[in-house]
Amino acid sequence: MISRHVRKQCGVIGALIIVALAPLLFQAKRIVSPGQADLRLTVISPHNESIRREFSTAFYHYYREKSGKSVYIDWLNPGGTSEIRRVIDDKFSNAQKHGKKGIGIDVFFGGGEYDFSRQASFEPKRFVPLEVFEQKPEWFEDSVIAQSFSGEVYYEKERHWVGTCLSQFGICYNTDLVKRLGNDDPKEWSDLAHPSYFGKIALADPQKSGSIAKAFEMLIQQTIQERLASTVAKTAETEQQRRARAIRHGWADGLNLIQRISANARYFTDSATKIPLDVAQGDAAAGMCVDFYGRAYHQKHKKEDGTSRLEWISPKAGSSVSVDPVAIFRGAPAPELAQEFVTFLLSERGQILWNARAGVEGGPEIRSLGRLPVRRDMYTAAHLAKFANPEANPYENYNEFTYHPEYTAAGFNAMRMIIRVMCIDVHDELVEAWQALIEADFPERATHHFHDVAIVSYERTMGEIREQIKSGKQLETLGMRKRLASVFRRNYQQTIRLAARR
Amino acid sequence: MKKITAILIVAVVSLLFGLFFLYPVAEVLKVAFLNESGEFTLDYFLGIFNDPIYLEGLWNAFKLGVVSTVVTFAIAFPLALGTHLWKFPLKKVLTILILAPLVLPPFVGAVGVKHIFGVEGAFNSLLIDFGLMSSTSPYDWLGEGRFWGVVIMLALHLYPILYMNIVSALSHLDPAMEQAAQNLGASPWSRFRKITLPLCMPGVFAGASIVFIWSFTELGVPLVFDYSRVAPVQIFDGLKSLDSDPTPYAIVAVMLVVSVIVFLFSKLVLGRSPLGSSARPKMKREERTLPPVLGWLVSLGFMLMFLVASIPHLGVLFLSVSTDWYGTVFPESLTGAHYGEGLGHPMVTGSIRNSLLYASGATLIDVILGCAIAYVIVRSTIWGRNLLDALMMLPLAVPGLVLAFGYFALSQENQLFYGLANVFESPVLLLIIAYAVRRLPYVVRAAVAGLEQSDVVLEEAALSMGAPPRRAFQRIALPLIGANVIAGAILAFAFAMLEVSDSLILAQQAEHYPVTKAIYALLSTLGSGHEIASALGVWAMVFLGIAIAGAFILVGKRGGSLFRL
Repeated sequence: MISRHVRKQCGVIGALIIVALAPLLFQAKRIVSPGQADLRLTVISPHNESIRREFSTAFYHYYREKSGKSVYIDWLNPGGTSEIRRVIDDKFSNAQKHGKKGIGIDVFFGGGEYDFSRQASFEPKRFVPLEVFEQKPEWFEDSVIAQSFSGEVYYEKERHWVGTCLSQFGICYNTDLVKRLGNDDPKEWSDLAHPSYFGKIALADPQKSGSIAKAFEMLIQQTIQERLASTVAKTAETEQQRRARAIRHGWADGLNLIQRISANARYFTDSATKIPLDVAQGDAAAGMCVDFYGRAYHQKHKKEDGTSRLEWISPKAGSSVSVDPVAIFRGAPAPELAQEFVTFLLSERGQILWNARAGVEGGPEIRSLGRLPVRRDMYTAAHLAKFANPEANPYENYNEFTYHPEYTAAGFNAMRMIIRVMCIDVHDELVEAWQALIEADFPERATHHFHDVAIVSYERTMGEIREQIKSGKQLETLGMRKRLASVFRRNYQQTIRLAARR
Repeated sequence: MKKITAILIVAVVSLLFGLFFLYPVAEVLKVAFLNESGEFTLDYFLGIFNDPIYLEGLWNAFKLGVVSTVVTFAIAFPLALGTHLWKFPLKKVLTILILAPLVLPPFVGAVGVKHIFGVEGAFNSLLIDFGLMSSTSPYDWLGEGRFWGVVIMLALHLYPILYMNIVSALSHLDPAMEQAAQNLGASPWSRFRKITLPLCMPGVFAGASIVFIWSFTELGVPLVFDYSRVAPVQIFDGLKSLDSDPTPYAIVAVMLVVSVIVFLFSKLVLGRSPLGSSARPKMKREERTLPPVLGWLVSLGFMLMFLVASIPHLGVLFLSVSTDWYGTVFPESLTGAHYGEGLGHPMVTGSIRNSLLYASGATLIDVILGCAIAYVIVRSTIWGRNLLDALMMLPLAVPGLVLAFGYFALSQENQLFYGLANVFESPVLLLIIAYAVRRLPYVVRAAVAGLEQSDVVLEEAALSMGAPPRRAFQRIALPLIGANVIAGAILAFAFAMLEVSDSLILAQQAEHYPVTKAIYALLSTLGSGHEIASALGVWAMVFLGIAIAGAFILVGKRGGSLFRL
């Protein structure tokens, strides 16, 4: 006779075993397990799970057909780009200390040009030259992969990294909410600065990602270019002087625009999925969002009549098209396989995978990745017919915006710090000041105070602020950051007082 | 306790704690105390106190800590008292159900909360359907909620910690004392105020100190409410920033100091019962059977608490089966596809095995170390035992990412932990130790509270009868604090199963992912990442739910009364 307690024990243990084993019922056949594979490629990447899974499968088949051997891709995914940067830096610093050449990782795949340029800038070099440039020179002609497009670099001249797919920051918006707020669909960045969007904008955080900071830089570039086009020369003013004046004013316009958009923002995030999700769920009306997440959520919410409550647009003049690169680390454990992986990524087979519909020949197995291949010759009618987003062709539908590094690139890090002290550190005060202005209908003096960015003028940014950051003197730089933040904090508090006095 | 034994235990514990907690944390935090030339400086640390933005962040975090602890107490104490005093309908089931928050993976819970309390979420839709809110201007609970939103969410998530500790503490009370007071004419309120509450203060303090430090350093909930002017979010933003800025590390150092000060101060004020410890109850308290109406009213209170605490769980459950959920009380239509994709992912079965291994290993270490440490803290007279007690709370105050970065740096080739990180070519040992270090406070606090409430006279009697100290501990002290240790072990196991930040950095290869990192990875699946992650989150909730309920059924001889002696 089994006692009641033993029966209970069996029941609990049985239930635990059933629940623990339940996932086995759903298990899809694994293409190759780490122990069975002939070869192993270690890839560190911030790419999402869908990309990792589809590229594992596709490269497995590609390499098996080519060499008869099986490959397991060991994806290292310590979080986002900031964690990856930290892991790579720690590993290289330790390797250097102990005279090791490599860090036990073969490939760095995905992220922004900023991360790759930074890693490539170290001496001794962290990346090795990519053989694909020698093996397939025809892929690097302007008609296939140009060295740069829209002012963005697509591969490094020293050939240590190359872009594999395109990405572009744009605006995603919730059609229901935009309508409810009484607005037209947003078309450019400045639309997000309208007071009706107060508390309804979701912004990406430029402190945490080079690509996001670049998107903010584009916004400033846009206002500079508008000023350059509209500024008329004063009497006795040379062209050089006129341009300098236009750039100064364009810079201030750009910062003011960022202030107003940030004042409408409910947060700054580094999570790629948070913004399209919040916008799709109606917690935010619009937000700054990378193209493929915008398209993925658009598709997800598409109704039978073809409409979707989440739309994504590339803003009219103000967004360049950048790349997600790939590179091979020095001292890679499997250097030949790594070179083969890069060649695969740039081959027709690897490129089609980025945007083909799931299930079509050469396409992904489970779901479309919704990303745009970097190779220009992929945008042919035959290929477009297979694409999940055939209408998205940045080479054809480009918005005529060209990034001019000479205006702002030298002050890139200074600009990041300015956005931080002007909008992020003092976000509560900024929001309160903006609310006070809206409620008081923008009285002139208070509005002027709000927009006062003289302390971070173009001259000061490119001069003392940039120099201070470059100096590497952390304590002094922190002191400067604190001073600048306190100036903006005071400005916003003064704005609130002036607006209330009205 | 013999002094030499105490010194030996302290030496071993200090060595382990120093090696696996202080050293990795110091390795990361040192940047906050070195200037550009590598010399020691306090400028970054003191600079925090000159910066109004960081000061406000710290103040807000402190306020969140205090207010959340008070609200958590207000929820947990009546529940614990009800459990202790009365028999009411469905008691066995309800006392397990109210522990629901323990089974929720925190970041999946955040997704669930957003679908319930979002502008177009289920709650607003319900209010609109009942005509209590205009559909053209739904309220933004998350955007407007901020401070109080965070407090309520924290209290609803953390009350089981305090509840379990208080129930354990109440089970130590000798009903004879209350009866004596009653015989002398003391009113129920006066008995509660003068006997019950003071005697269970060690349990209240054990739970409240964990709840305070947890709330003070909480990151996830303020992020859900977009509440950024709070120190943990400022640290998180700094750690993730592209700049190599020492400020976030300096704030971590400040938070550690504040945590120790608050802990020591509150221990001084609240930590010991002003009435001293009570002897082991000489008689069993008989639970009072309430009249049917009153009994059902108490049951209703427990049910309500369970329902409110389960709101995030419901959000996750509905999301896991929804095709779309927007502007309606329930999802538009249901599907099982997310379970197929989530549970069918190749990394899932391995991650379940890993989680079980990591969490069980960590809990075992915590129980062994936690009991030894607690014994030294309570039973020895060794100098510095209070400091040791405060140090044991620090793992709660260090952001997970900071400790993980420390472990990561030390697990590189030729570094101290390299061997540990590569036993069997796997970081399993390192992960178990990392998990154990961060969950040690739960067991230490529970065991300390148990020992403080049990009378040392019983052990002394055993010793005087010739039992060696180890036998006295095993046969007398350990059984007396068994309920407390089990409570601590359940918390340690549950929170280890739900751990994210250590594994994010240390379990880099898919073969070593625990289930939470698998969920995190699946969150980034294009389009339906949140639904797929929710499906796996539901699996985790069911598994942990059965594990915790099973612990009650197996250990508690009388079902729901696990913490009663």
